[in-house]
Amino acid sequence: METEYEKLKKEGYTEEEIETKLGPMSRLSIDSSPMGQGRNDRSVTFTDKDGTVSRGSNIMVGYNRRNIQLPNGTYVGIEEFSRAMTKFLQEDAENKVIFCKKTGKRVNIGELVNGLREVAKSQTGLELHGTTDKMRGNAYEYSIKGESARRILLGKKIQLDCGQWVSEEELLNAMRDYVYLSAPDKTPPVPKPDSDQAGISLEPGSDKTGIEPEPNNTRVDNQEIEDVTTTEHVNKRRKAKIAPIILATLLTATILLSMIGKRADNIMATRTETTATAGAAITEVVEYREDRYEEAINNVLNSVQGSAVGDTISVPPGVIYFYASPNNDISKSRTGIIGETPERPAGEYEIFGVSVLDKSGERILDTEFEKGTTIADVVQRACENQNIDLDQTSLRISLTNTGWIEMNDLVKKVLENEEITPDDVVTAYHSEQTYDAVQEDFTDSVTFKTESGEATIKVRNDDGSLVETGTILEGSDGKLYRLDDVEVEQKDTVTSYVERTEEKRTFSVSNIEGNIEIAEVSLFVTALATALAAIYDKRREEEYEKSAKKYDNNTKFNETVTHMSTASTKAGLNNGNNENADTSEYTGGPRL
Amino acid sequence: MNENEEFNKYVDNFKKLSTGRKKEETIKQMKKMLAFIWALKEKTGIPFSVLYNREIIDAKDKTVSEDDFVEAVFVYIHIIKEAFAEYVDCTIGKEEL
Repeated sequence: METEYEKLKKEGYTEEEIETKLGPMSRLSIDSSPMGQGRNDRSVTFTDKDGTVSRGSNIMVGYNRRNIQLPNGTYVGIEEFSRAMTKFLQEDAENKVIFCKKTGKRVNIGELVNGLREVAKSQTGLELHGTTDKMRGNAYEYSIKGESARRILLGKKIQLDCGQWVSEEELLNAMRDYVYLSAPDKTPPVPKPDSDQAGISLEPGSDKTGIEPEPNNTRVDNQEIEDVTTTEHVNKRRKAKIAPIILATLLTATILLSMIGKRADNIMATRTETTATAGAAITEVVEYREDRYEEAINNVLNSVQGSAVGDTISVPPGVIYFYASPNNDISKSRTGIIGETPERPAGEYEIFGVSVLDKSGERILDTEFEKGTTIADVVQRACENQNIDLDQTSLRISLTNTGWIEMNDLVKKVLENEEITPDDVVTAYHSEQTYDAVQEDFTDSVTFKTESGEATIKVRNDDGSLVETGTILEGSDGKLYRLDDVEVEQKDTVTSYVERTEEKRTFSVSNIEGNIEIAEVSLFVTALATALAAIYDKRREEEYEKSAKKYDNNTKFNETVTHMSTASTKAGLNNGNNENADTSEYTGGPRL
Repeated sequence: MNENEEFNKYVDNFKKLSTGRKKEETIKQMKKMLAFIWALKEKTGIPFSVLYNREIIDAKDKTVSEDDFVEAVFVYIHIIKEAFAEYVDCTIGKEEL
């Protein structure tokens, strides 16, 4: 496997540049390594401070229905980065001044560090949580942008800092926005080189530091900074550590500015017509059970398959190992159980070799003992050579100085150790046909046509947010539907005299029997609704008065009152049809 | 259409009114009833002896609160009840009841 060092060397980096590029920091390199169709799993290589490189198990983003973004590339730990930055400034940056290229202002180191923290919060791709109780050895839990902590197996010798890990590329890119100068030095600027390379800072103590601020005057005009900055792109890769921190400040400022802009928009919105369009995909669920069990199995399988010969894997107590070679009948071999003797404790074991057998376990299809070959590669090779599917194979792993273990047994014991049982099985069976619909007058539900009629599902939570994709919802027709996708697009149109909000949402709905149906509805709330309400109120009033008159005219009450009025005009009573009737009209009575 | 059907339609339309209008109409109907009784008393020469409570003042506004409305209705019912009982007492007499 090509190391980072070899890769950089091949790209033409000098030894010094490589040293700078790699630095004394740990790194985590993520490459795409899908474990199956529709999955989004990534293979991971670790490089610790000493430069030790190890292939770990894959990072599992699984089917990634939540669309968690984890770009490939190198990631560095924020804590370690901060320490390296501090160390660098203390040792190498004496009498140096850092300027922000865009503002021309001197940047305070404390601000840089704080800015770095802010960037970490918004840019973090990965967070390592440390070892777990259930997995002994070098197994860390991790989460991606706060989503679902899972477990990753590190190489035997690898120790990494826990905390937030951010993309190194992002940090390096940010360096271009800053200059780093030696303090008073009259050396003329370094000529602008032809090539444009990442990196920014100047060589500490070097004569090539270019323009520097005058004593007691740190201001540098933009052109000078631009020139210096461009220059610094060339050779100063070694100082890469400093730029990301400076970047943090820049990004923080950018974020603040964008927030201010947003606030201004919001003020405008008081006179804005809003049009929202949402697209969604919904699949009818035929049967629903949770699938934690299956997912747990896949996680263990993928973790192991991502390991290579020579790597270590964590073996929980209870796993049976066999002294026999894989082509023997292991049922007749001498066996032992991991964790039952002091010589074979549960924990990390090195993979000595791997053997792929047919499903019955009687015929060997492939065997591999060469270090660095991943188990997944061996299995794939066996399947291709034998022209069989993966589910027609079984797997045995040879542990150094221990014996063979069966993959199925390993998975079973891991699940038992984590107390995940088949009772936890949750599976959602669903169809693949979808309905598409556009609906106006959207509040929180969408109605769509099915083969058997109409169904309505609520796609907005009580707090006003849209329901997460992947959520199972019950339709008004009693059937279950899975919301596969929801997309909302909102458009604001400024009006000076009418404030109106129009929401238009598009939904794609799938049903097991359904054909694609499109329905369009338009909803106007506010001015139009208010006008209609006034019209309806007037109509209701008219209808009421009409029916009241019709009813009252025929009542005995009215008949009597009319008679009394006729008999004595001084009685002061209405005939009952006068809507202004009031006791005050009765001249003899009190006014109420 | 018989009287009850007319009444049902009348009530149905009443139900469609806004709450404020319903309150207004309810108070109006009670006032009619009260005026009717007072007219009867006037015709038969029965002197006025009216119960009064300031809670009914609150019901004059269409936007009266639920509490004020119920309190006003409560007062009106008692005024009507007492006025009618007084009318009956003076015209038929307790002995005839």
